Amino acid sequence: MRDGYVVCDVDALAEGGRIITRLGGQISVGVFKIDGQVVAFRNYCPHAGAPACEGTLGGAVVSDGGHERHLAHDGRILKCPWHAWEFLLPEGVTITRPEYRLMRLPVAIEDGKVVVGSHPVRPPRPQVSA
Amino acid sequence: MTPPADIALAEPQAVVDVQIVDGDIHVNPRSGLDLADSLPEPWLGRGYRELLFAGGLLGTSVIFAPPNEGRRLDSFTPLGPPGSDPQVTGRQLFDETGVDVAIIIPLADKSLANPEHEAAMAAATNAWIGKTWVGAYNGHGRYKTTLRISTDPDLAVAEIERWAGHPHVVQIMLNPYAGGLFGEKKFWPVFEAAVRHKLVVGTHITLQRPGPALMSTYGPPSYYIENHGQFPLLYSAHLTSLLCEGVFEQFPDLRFTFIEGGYGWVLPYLWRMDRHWKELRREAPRLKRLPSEYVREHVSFTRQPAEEPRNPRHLARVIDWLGPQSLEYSSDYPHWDGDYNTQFGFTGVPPEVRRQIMGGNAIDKYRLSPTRPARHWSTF
Repeated sequence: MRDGYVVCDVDALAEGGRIITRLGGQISVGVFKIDGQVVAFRNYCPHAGAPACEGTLGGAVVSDGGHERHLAHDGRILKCPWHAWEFLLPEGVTITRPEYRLMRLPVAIEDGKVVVGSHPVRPPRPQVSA
Repeated sequence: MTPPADIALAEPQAVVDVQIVDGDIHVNPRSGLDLADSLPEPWLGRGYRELLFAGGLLGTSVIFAPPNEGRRLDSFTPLGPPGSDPQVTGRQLFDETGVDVAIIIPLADKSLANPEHEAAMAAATNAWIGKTWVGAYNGHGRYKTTLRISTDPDLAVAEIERWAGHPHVVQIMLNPYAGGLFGEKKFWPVFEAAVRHKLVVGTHITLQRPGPALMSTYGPPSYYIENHGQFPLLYSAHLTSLLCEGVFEQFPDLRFTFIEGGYGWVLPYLWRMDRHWKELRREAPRLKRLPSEYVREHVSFTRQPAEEPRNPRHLARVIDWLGPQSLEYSSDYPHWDGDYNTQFGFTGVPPEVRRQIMGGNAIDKYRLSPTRPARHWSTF
């Protein structure tokens, strides 16, 4: 990848794990491995600028109606450490308003290394049910 | 504690303008026992120290389940609970958020038990704050505090008299779950004492056990979100009472702050009150002018948790409607729903209005210095 930064060995990132680092010592990013996929985001919440990638990873409580409620997306919900906005990984979109999303960065695996680019990509909007 | 080298070299007399006044921060003891040791007799001797604090800070109850135990996740430290370490608090509040002066709202007490016990807990809280956050931690003078008082007016006035003239006490706090509406005459001695000592009166939501104190207007809430979303209803009841009982006629120098109830609700409410005053004024003759006029002159609202309309420019219209003199910035540090982005909510707001909201209004109301020492470290 042109203009990419080596973040870590690919083996250093376990399933459900993350690395918070700064690209070139400047741009704070979070690199996650979710469902076998390595994804990277700017460590910046679109709501109020919190270090979103430093939140807890867990699930979201959702309801299919009535008194029914259950845990969904377990291990894939990144909860912002300030205001608890819930982002679904690996997409990086909020579960209630998918137009609010973390800024996703390009990732490549090169020679056993995770390489992250600093220019955001815009993936297609996924269909998410809350 | 030795200050960082680069700060220690700064010219000690250097001052900078106060641009951001934070009207709502919370600090905590590292352990409940720190607070318990300030409990006055006879409560200490009766075993209240062990009863209330031995297992932790049981004196403060918690309802429902706000995220992260109610605090932003990055404010927890190995040194103690959020808001308990002056260095971490100073970094997150002064350096990262950019606050110049912060008004402490102490929540570390048990609210509304029996009034005498409440007075003892208020005294312990005030004494602990006096020793620490506006004492040993406050060499820079950037912390000001709010005095906790009992809901019993006589006990409240005694506590106000005890602290009158303290250079860092700028406000007293009435518990909004006061067992009555603030305009009632029983609270007038508190207002009289506050005005006499040039102190603002404020109110701030306190944590309560589920029960009548958390009633919505028509029943107990099931969820934290119900309680949290209805702070404006509680505050509008007290504001209506203050207006209709003529409190601001009786105390023309009284300034009142509604803290953590937001702002967007105020003007639609006042539109209704102004209309009804024209029709029903005769039954509340102490209310001599339009309710909105008293609010503009006497009442302010801290912004957090700020309303978030889909079109952020709508907030600018709300500010323009009521006038910027009634709105003040607050972060609510270290709580989970805090307003830590000081750029937020000002789309379409003129720069001079933003300066007023971020600091100018609070400097005037609390009679703060318009400058502060450039350094923020202290001799703790």
